[in-house]
Amino acid sequence: MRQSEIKELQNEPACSHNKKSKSGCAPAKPGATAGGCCFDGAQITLLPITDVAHIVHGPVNCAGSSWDKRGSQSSGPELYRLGFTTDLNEQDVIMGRGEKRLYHSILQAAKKHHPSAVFVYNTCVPAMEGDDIEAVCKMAQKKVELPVIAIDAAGFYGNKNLGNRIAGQMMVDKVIGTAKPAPKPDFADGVVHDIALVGEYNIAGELWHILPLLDRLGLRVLANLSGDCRYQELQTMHHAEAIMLVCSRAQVNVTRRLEEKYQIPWFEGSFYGVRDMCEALRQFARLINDPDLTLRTEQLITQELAWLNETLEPYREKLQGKKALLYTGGVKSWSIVSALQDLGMEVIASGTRKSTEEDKARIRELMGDNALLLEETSPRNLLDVAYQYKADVMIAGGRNMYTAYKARMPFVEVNQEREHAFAGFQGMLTLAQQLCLTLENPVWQQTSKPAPWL
Amino acid sequence: MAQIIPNKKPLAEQPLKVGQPLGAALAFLGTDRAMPLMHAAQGCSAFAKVFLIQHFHEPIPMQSTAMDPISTVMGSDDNLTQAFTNLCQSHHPKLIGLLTSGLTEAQGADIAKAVKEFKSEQPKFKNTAIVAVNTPDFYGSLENGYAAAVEAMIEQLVPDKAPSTVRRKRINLVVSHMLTPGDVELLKSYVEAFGLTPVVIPDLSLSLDGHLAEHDFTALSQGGATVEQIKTLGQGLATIVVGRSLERVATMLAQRTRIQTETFAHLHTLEESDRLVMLLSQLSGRKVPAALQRARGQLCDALIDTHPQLGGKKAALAMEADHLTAFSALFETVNIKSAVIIAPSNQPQLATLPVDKVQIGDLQDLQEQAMQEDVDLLLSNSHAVSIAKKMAIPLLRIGIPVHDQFGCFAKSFIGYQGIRNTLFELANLLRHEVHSIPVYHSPLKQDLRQIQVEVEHG
Repeated sequence: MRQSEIKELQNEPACSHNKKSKSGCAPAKPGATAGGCCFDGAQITLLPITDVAHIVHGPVNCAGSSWDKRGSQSSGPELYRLGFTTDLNEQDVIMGRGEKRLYHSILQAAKKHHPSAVFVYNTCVPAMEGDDIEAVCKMAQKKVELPVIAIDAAGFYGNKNLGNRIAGQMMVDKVIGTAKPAPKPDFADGVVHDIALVGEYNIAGELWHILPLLDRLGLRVLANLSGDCRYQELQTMHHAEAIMLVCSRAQVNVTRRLEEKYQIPWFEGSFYGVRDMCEALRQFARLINDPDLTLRTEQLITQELAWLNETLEPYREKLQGKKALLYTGGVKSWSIVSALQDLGMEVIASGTRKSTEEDKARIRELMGDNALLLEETSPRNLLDVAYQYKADVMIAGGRNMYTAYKARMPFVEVNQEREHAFAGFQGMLTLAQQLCLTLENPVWQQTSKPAPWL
Repeated sequence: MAQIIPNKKPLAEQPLKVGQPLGAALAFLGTDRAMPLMHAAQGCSAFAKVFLIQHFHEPIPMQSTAMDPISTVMGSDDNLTQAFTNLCQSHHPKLIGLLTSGLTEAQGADIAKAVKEFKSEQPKFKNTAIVAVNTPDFYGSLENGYAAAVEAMIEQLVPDKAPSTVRRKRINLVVSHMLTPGDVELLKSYVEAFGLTPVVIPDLSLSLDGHLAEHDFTALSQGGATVEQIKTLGQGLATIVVGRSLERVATMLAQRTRIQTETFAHLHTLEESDRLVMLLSQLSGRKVPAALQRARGQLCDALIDTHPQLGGKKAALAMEADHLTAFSALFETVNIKSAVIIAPSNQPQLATLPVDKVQIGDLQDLQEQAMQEDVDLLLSNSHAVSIAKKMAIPLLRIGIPVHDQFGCFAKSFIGYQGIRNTLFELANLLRHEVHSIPVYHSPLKQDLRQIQVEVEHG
């Protein structure tokens, strides 16, 4: 990928980081990095397209240490779970045989697995060597008669965020807008409206907490970039009447460009917490602007809230006043705050990695002006904050789980490796249950006591 | 306090109970060069032998007095004398563990008298000790038989007087059937870590630990506590008794030997393991070794690491009372609810379990109640495999028999390392349970066949 193209992607008018010198796509600091690379970002964005063969072109490390790790669930094909890689060896690198190997890899994947399409992810070594993966993909496409798409987002191009954008850009340029959706099905309660989601990864099956609600409202999800998504669905995404950008500023370029190209209105929202879940449903109704839908949305919200409030009551009693240290990033930095507050908990601090100014403003709105915002921080600092503010539980991503555990502190995982689905009204209940389960577990008391001989 | 629900079914469908004779035989097998002798028809010993072979994957010494119609009606003293003579002549055992069966108990055989007579009439066999114990299979279960045999060995071999000498480094360990040979090995290593010498009654870690010895087959048990060691228990510095089924044994041993006797219901929790280590430290006057300190830290780490998998889960347990006490205690420490408890026979300790009710029953009861309570996990012996399959939940195999897996006897469940292993195993078993919610197929989802490609790619 050319430097100029990268520059262009980094200039994202819809991203509020653009206004500050310290943008979301700022270069990483040597010796002080904590996030993933550009390839990582591109791969996680597209991997949940479940019927595509995702081939990682490079030596083994890129695919080898990342495949079959994320909890993105599928309702059908399992092809995306395989870790296709060209696994370049020393001879390939020295003799420049990478392109040839890639070509045959594409043929093998197409012949053996019959995917809907093949995506080829570039990585550092072939990018540096100058493999022309675009040309290889074109050549292979003729042979296999399937879309073969090069995703040129090698690790050294930039951070994970940039990778998300490159991947999204490729989908807008090459996939979305190439097919007409299936005819709308009948719907007893009114008209079916087509919508789309961007950035809902169906981790632990979370989407399946949301879809039943959308189904009740007659909202057909044409495509979800990407979670439990099929290649063909993605081709029809441009027919959506409204798009929700879910907890992921990283792909704001997708929704902005779809708005420019196809005039599709979009909003940014979250499925976490009672308030945000209701707000997301209302936003769809607002953008689609069908009075009947608006009415049915309000009815559904009333029903769900009645059920949820009753079910949550015993958990709220237990969680009332418990102090949580939240350290996650992006939109989750405020969407989870509101979920925790809905449960009666006090959030003592929230991480603001990858959060925009807008995100931060929302945190302040929720937590007050004295809200403690944690930028990129070390595990040591994180624990010190937890001790200082007497946190009862830490809520963060998997890499901090064992940091908390070493400090004998209850922990709930909310990032991509999580095993529980916290989205939607049902997910609120799961979150409350998981919080209670860890907080009330007797292991904390046992392990906090020193050995009796000490 | 748990409420005990008696068994009211006329028919046991999938028995959980293993009879007393088998428990007694097991206890005798923990003595060196021993031969369990069942005062019974030959089938009793044949069944017991195969049962234990399949569990331990070892040859099992076992004999019977071959009761026949005549001895059943006319009296069986001759069978006993013949059996003793045959065994002594052909195998020279150090110990014959004589145990009775339903048949000979109902018949009213006086085994104590028969042993006494044989000893006075046949002094040439005085090198073979004979311990007799009453173990009808119409009473109690394996646990009672095992405890009765241990009690009989102590009563009949340990003199009732203060010992003349004291071996200041020797610690007696009297252990329940619930300790596997692997458990016993670990327990001994704890004692040795403080510079003390353990003597274990019965010591299955020396007989049924599954080791290939220099010599080939032996008709007798190939190791265990020696008769001499049992006779001199009173010379020890202290006695540690593990398992509530041995409480009576503990009291008796304390009275006979007049040495310090400490009892442990189990060693299956951090707290009880700590208590053991503290006790050993006091007895030896030594500091806790670094290795044990480290093992404790590893257990604490495992407690935390596995708690998301274990906390809030529901288990159904069907096993002997000692095991029930141990595992329900362990489960309390990791917030697993012991939702269903099935015991093969009533025992005093069952009333003290930290649960609402204990059902005396069989594996049929386990299945019914486990389904009713919708448990996540079963703990029982291998007979529960089919129930676990039916319910599509994991089974942690505990007790005897475990005949469908290798090496269960070598596992340890006690002490810092054993508890840690158990937690890891439980977490792995439960991990296969998928937390993600069931797949949902949207009725509105596009039919892919109806999507029309408008722009060919490329």
